[in-house]
Amino acid sequence: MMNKQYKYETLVRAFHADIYRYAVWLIRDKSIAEDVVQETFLRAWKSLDSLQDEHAAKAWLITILRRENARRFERKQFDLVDIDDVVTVDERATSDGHADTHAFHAAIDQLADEYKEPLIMQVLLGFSGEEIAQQLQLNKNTVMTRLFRARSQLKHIMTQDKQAGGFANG
Amino acid sequence: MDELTFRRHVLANPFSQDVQVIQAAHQDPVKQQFWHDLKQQELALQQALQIDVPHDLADKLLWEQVSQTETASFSHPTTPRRPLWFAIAASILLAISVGWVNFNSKERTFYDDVIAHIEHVSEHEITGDVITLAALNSKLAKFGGVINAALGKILSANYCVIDGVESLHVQLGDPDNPTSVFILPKDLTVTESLATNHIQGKVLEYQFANVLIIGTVSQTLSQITEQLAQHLAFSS
Repeated sequence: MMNKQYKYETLVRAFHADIYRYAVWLIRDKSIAEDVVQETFLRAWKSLDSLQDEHAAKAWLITILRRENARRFERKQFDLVDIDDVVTVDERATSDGHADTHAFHAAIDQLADEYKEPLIMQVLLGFSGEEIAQQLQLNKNTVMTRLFRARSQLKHIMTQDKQAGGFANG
Repeated sequence: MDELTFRRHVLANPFSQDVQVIQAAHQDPVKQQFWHDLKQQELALQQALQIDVPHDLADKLLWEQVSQTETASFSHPTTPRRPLWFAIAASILLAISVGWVNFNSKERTFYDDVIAHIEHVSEHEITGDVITLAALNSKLAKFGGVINAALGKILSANYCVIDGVESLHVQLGDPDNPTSVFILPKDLTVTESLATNHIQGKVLEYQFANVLIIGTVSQTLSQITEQLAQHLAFSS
């Protein structure tokens, strides 16, 4: 049995990257996302004894993060701002410079939250349909439908972009 | 399997291993092409979602936790899984510290925790990534420290908490038998030296910090201690 401090350090090192990435996609602002991740891990530290199944740690952290993000809205009513003013494609750029990355970022942002969130949970976090259903309090069929629609829309957006790019370049 | 069912299935799970889906794709080149294109899109999507993570985020999270919970009490393993030599080393360390315990009761749990940290966490801290001197110095800066010359191979440099004390744990040298260096705040008093059959420790006392160096190879320990004494400096 690890003591609480070592358990926490292991948790931080194993999951901070996935949790941060998920937060950025959820919140769309790196600075706020980092704050929420800090709140999430502090909350996790305080409740660490309640984490009985260490295999479920990632899902447990995501539950805390979504709750902390909801609290953020309870604490403060933010002014409505245009998404484009909050986060830019470049701000989330990866270091590998993949050619499709920027186009994908823009395409993902065009998805409605109800489609984007399960998609990111599946692709980024590796959650199963059941796990996503549990997180979002939906039934599994609804989740699978949303995943299908999310990818379908993404494919459509990417195809349109390529055609538009083709015309522009042609 | 009809076209719509096939598409719904693979769009919900592009890397499905469902036998019926695989068969349907084998039997229909249009379905096969659709699935192939979708898998390509999925790989690009996976890559696009991997946004860069601040390199010091884990350290910040640990630091934040320490700052917020300074007064929290830290539990210790009730049945530590330690090899025999560690148990012997720990008992001798504790025996050495006993004289000190009269003056500073914190010391016994501190050294116990140092050994527990080396045993439980150190191995996981060595990721194989190259830690540059600049990266180490940026972490040392929180203690007002700077190293002005290369110390050899830096295996890891992570903030950690030892018995409730914020410290920086640096591992140097051979990955299979690393030497641990703990940068500690000055307000923590540590004994001047430690020695057991298997593990040895030295302390460098600075005006603004203390440095605890722990290893199993006497010669290496002395070399690293000398190097640190020459090249590590602290300011207020």
